[in-house]
Amino acid sequence: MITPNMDALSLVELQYIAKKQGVEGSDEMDREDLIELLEEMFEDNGSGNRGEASNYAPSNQKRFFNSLVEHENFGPLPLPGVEELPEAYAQTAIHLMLKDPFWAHAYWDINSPEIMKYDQNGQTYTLLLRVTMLEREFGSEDGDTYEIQVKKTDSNWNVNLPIRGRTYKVTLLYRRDNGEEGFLCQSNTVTSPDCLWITRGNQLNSDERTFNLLFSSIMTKGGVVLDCPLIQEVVSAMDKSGRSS
Amino acid sequence: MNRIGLLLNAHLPYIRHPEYPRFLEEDWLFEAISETYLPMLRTFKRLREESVPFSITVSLSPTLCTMLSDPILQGRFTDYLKLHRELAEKEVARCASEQPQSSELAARYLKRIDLNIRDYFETYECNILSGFADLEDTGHLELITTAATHAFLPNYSEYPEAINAQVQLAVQSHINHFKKRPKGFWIPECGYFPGLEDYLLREEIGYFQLAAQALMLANEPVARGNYAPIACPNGVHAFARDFNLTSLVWSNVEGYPTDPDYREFYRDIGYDLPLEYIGKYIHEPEVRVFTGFKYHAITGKTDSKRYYCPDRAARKVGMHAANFLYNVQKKGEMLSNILDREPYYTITFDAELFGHWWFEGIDWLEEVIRRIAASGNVLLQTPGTYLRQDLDSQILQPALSSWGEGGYANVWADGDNVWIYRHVHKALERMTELANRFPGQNSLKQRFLNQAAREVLLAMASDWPFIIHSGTSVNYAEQRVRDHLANFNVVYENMCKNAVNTEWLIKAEKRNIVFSDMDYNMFRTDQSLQS
Repeated sequence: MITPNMDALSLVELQYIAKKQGVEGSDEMDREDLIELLEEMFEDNGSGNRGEASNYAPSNQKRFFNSLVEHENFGPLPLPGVEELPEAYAQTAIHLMLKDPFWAHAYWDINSPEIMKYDQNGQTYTLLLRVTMLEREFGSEDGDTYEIQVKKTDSNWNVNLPIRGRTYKVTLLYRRDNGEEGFLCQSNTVTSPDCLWITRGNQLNSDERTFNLLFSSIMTKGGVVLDCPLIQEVVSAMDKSGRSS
Repeated sequence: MNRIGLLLNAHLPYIRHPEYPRFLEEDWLFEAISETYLPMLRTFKRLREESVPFSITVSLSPTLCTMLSDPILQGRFTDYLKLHRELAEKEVARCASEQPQSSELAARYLKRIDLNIRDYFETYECNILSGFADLEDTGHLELITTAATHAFLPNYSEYPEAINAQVQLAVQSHINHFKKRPKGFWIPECGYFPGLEDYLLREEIGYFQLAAQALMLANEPVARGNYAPIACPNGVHAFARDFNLTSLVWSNVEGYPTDPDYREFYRDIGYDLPLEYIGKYIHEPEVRVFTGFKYHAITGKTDSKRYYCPDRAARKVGMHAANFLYNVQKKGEMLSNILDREPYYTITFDAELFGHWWFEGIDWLEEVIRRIAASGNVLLQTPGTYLRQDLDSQILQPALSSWGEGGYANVWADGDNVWIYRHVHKALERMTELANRFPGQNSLKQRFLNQAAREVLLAMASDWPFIIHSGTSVNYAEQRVRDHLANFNVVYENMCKNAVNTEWLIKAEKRNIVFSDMDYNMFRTDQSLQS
């Protein structure tokens, strides 16, 4: 994390940062108040990641970008003929990106004559994302689905993937008041990762060799297991198995 | 024998703004050269001169190589050195009269700048890549490459032409700079998706590194854990990171750099001293920045920092180097009962950790190398050398993974930065459309299309979403993504009208001069890439 490491900074530095962040009267404030205020501001800006640990040393997330304060005065100068990026594209399409084993991100554009007609005529409809979990066997019919109602102004959504190891696709639909549905577009598929050790907690508890082989390179010296939801599930499975035996 | 594969990833995003006389973010490069690359090269050369054996892998990213070879940035680094030398002299005088506890450190800073000036101009003639190449020639370094603009590749797995371009251009860039084909490939952010190895094989890459969980999460049990490489089904080898040994260093909770006697990174005279003194050495208009002159020790969670004591820090360096080796040896003893061969530990860091973030890091690295050489049971060995032993490798398909928070794509696709993919993906589709519609162009149109390819590749850099995720320099990162994509759109819209915007082209080529031998045709649909 590169946001200021508040605890390490002097009062002069804190006042400087506060001034740059637009805090009035920062010269009058004491250190504790400044730290509290700035931490709130950075959290509100969604620049969390501070955690309880010291920021003195780099974590595996740190990189070189070390300016203490946002530097807003300069940016690349635009070249001739360059226009702003569009908000959306003239197409009807949806794209799905895997974020982790339980979430994917969908973004879409709608440029459909039917929708435009309904909008022009003031006819009401709702937009739906139908999340489909494909059957495991290749070529078989689609499996379970669930729906998410989205607003007309939405153009992206984080989609939950309820079961690990399955393949998902998302269909964008509209549904009119009379229940009639219309297809708009369908995404690519994503497959959520799985881990075979989640179902083998008992083996890991009883087989010291395998446990050491796997875990000795993914735990810190202090016993902290690396940050990964599937690994956490393995640990939970081992706990559960250990308790029941 | 415990074999350690130490991989250092040297990378910075492409930042070059000749349109401004001085540009704040260009300092990232200058700080890295001053505090990491030049001191590290000096250390490696000293060890070589003393015949201390070592063998380390260094990934030099194509964007970094381009910037290190760029005459404009070389000239600006010269100005940076001059300015910092002037400040160092002032600091020696100021500390002597006002802050005697820091005199030794101020003198050390001045000496380092003088050594940097000597090395940069006399030894390397302004291009430090020759220093890395020289160390590779004598077998002390193994130089590898990484994706052309350090893109987080899993987020582009649906765009085979883009992945192929990132890999192909990276290899070409490496050949241009080092006159040889790289054997290994650093996958940015350890971001792996199944099938990535197919692109690497096309470029004759022999190995790459993985996040620590990538083999444990494979769909078959891994036979030797992370203590031996596996062979992907296509034969390319993968080395999974040892999180346990890496975190002895790279942890903000228990890593060595958190020691209270080490230098505090965040206390810098750029912020501490009055503007009338420091004003000339920071950025206009009165934008306070790090100058690199820091005199306090970490001390603890307090603003009452002790002055840095070089002797105390040096003692800790020795202790931490010894502790690292002890942990390696202890681990080797544990593994001797469960492995059918000697273990290989893959330890990976960003190169800029050493010297820049962790002031004492290069001293620690030197001490580790010396202790390893004297140990008799630990050996530094590059992945390329390890593979030449031709040992059997388990064939295994690694799992989707990264070394970011949560182990997947969340850092590079969070609520703040995920918007970029709508635009970058569209630009990639359009780039392939352009390459398919206008193959084999020459003259102006060829240059126009090549520049479009540069712009879209620069927009793919993992650095932009990472900076946005981190919450600093956000405006700059957002602006860079928007500018590259908007630049791309200039080409797309003009080519759709069968026109070329010459004024834009000339200026864009001057600004974003990366990948001089770009061939946009690499974005043409290639059936062999389709899954």
